[in-house]
Amino acid sequence: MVSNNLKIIFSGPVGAGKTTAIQTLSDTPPISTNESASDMTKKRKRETTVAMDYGTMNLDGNEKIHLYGTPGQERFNFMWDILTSGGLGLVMLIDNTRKDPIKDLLFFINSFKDYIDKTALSIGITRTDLRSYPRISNYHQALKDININVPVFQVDAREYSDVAMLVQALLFSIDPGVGTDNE
Amino acid sequence: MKDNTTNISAIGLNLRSIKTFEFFFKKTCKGRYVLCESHNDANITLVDIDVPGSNNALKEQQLINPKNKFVCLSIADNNKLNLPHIKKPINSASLIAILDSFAKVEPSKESKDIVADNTNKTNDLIARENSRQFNKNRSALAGRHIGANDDTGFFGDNEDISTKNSKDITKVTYHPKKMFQGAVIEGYHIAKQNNCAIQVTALGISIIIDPSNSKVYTTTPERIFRPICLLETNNKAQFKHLGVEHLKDKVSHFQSNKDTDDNCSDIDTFLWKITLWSSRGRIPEDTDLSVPVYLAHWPNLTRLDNIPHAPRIAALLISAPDTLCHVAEKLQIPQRYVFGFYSAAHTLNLSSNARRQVDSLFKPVDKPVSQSRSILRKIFKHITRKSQADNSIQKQNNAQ
Ligand SMILES: Nc1nc2c(ncn2[C@@H]2O[C@H](COP(=O)(O)OP(=O)(O)OP(=O)(O)O)[C@@H](O)[C@H]2O)c(=O)[nH]1
Ligand SMILES: [Mg+2]
Repeated sequence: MVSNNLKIIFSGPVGAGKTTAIQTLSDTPPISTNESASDMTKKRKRETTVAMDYGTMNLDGNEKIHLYGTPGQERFNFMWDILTSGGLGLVMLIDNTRKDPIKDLLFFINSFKDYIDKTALSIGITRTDLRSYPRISNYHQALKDININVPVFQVDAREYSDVAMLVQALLFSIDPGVGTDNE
Repeated sequence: MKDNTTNISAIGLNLRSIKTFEFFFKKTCKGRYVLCESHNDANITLVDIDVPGSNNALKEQQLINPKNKFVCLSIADNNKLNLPHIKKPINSASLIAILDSFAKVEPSKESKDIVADNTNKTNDLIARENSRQFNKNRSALAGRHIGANDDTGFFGDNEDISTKNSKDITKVTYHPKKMFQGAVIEGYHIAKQNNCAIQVTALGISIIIDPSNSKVYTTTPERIFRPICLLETNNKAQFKHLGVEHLKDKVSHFQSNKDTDDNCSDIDTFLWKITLWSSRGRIPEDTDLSVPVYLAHWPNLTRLDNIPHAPRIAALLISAPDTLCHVAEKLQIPQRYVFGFYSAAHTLNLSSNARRQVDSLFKPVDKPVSQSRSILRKIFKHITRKSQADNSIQKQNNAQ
């Protein structure tokens, strides 16, 4: 059985790019429980995740990091705390083109508060190519107001280097000494 | 049907919700609950009372199956039906608690390791391998964050110094105000103060700073900027206010210039790069190496030129202010990378000597480091390796 710690959770609102980010990182064909979206979600995108996304990063020595994506729609929230038992930390993706992305951010931070307190968090703002407001500085201000200081990057979930930076920032937030060679 | 399973039916749940519950009951509750189609077979019925028509369906079922237990799900805080209630978003613990109380089963002890060991058990999920083909048009910066490429002219080749030796210290300092960097920063201040676009001209080069969208326009290619950044301006920089029409003309002129491929960039990206070329792994001359520096927040590293070890330096300085040399020592990296990082972050107003208590803006929160460093390091290596492969593919694509 795999150690429960070897897990990174991706979360965020509908369409923020969770499924895509896991596809981008995963070394195995990712599994998604996507369906064609109906009702509200359809206005924004064709497919949505109903249960979860899953992928792996295959490390040296046969070790695996499990990547889990939570479903974005709020009514599936109860999946969230199932997925977030244990794990290295949370990568939160926020879609900059939604109506009130800062509100999304605060909602998700609040929803995962206990988990974040226990582990680490990095935040990726997606779709800034489509809409540049709010700016990264607005997100930092909102986070400062609630006394949280975590990495926030503009990312495109389709870009390996962007998603990898989110994971790196997560690792180094847990332990900045990770990259030192001679220990 | 097994003896210890409880059947659950649903009113008002659509296919997606049903799938989610199926997954949840199977994985989290280890099959103690199963969804059934007919209310007649059920012991418990979940009712989404937010769905139109579900109230009537509920009343009907209460008459047909009076022995069933009914649980309401709603975004409201409670229901007027005098039934057990779970507020959405549904918390799995409260759901299990209510179900367990009805089913009179021992509460689950096993719901911990639910997902991690499900790797092979997800066959029932809709497996779908998505195509990874997506638009490969990247910005000039993207794809360069990881992996130390020092062909940039960003860091020079200064050796590490000892802070006890003042001669050594002057070797690693520079005077931003006297250089092109200083002119750009001054121009940006003027632009922000007056809320008006400014054309900065120094050393024969012009740039336009538009504070309304935080953009910089220029026709000067990078290969010229790089050496220019090392020259002193002798206080001869000129700053010209541009009205809206004038700005429009200038910008369209700049953008039609074919000499450079990137005529427009975010001001932060531009300042970061200019600073790295000017500082070459050194620090502004007014920096006190004996005093800790703080980092107010993480730089937007995905859209800034790569500095080797930048995320590690950032993580360390966010956790608590520290002196620059100590950061280099702790991370076992050449000081010039830390100096370059500091200079660039300082230009973006993110970092400075922490002279007052309040400068250490955030108190470091002590979190238990439960993760083994070896696994974190493996992840890091894995990402670095893949990034490098990704970069070289990118370079090939760009070359074609
Ligand atoms: N233009 C643009 N598109 C993006 C970016 N990031 C992700 N996308 C696209 O956004 C779409 C939605 O991404 P998904 O990965 O399905 O989003 P999700 O978070 O899994 O959504 P749910 O499962 O419904 O919660 C995909 O078509 C992605 O390719 C970005 O930075 N810019
Ligand atoms: Mg999805």
